[in-house]
Amino acid sequence: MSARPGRRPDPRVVALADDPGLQPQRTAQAWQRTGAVAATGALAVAFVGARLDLVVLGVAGAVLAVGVAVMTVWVIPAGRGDRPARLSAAVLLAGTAALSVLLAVLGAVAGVASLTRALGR
Amino acid sequence: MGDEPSGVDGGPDQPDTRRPRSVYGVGTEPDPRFSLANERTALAWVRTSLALVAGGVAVTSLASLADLPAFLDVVAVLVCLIGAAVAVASWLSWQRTERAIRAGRPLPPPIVLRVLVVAVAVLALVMAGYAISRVAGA
Repeated sequence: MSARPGRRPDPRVVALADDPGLQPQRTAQAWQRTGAVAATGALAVAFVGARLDLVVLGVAGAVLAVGVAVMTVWVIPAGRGDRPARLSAAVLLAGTAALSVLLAVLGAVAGVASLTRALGR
Repeated sequence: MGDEPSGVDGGPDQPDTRRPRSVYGVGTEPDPRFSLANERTALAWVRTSLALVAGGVAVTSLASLADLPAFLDVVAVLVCLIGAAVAVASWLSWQRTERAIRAGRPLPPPIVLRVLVVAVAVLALVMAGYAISRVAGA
């Protein structure tokens, strides 16, 4: 399995090249599913931002949705057999968990903004 | 497969520079299947977290679209915060499990499962109570 320039083979994928259990492929699919859910969550944040006239929230959600979609296509840590150097599974996992926290904070901000408006009515 | 040396980062002859060292500096390189299974479990937890966040955002959207009471916004904020906690727990859980796998120790129990089950059950009961009160009020 040859890596593209600037990328390196995932040693686990190399070791399991002939795995009948298709572990690398299953892991790659798990990453793709997670990316799709994250992009959908970011779109939901963009929608609620637009709905509540919170421009910053709407733009942040839209940018995150596009960014996550691009990352999901560009960085697949298993299955394709290579990934950008410096990006170990741990780094990607930490980044994905941090993205989820960020979306949660944006969602909570939207909730508080909606709550403030509801109480002001 | 499982007896590959620790310096697996750039191949058997290269030093292992993967981070965090608190995980990759422990024990020996495990069977890659165990490591990948741990990664998939962590991703499943992250997806649970994202689903909670998306649910919270959806409730906020619904409340603003249908002009529903402020109570639902409080629920939405709570759900988002639970989602954030699950995301943090997924990362911590991945670290603990990966360390245990590398050290050949028994796997630790899931940190957040019990709390999450209770939180979801309580939220479901609260929402059911809210729905019943709306129907009874109408």
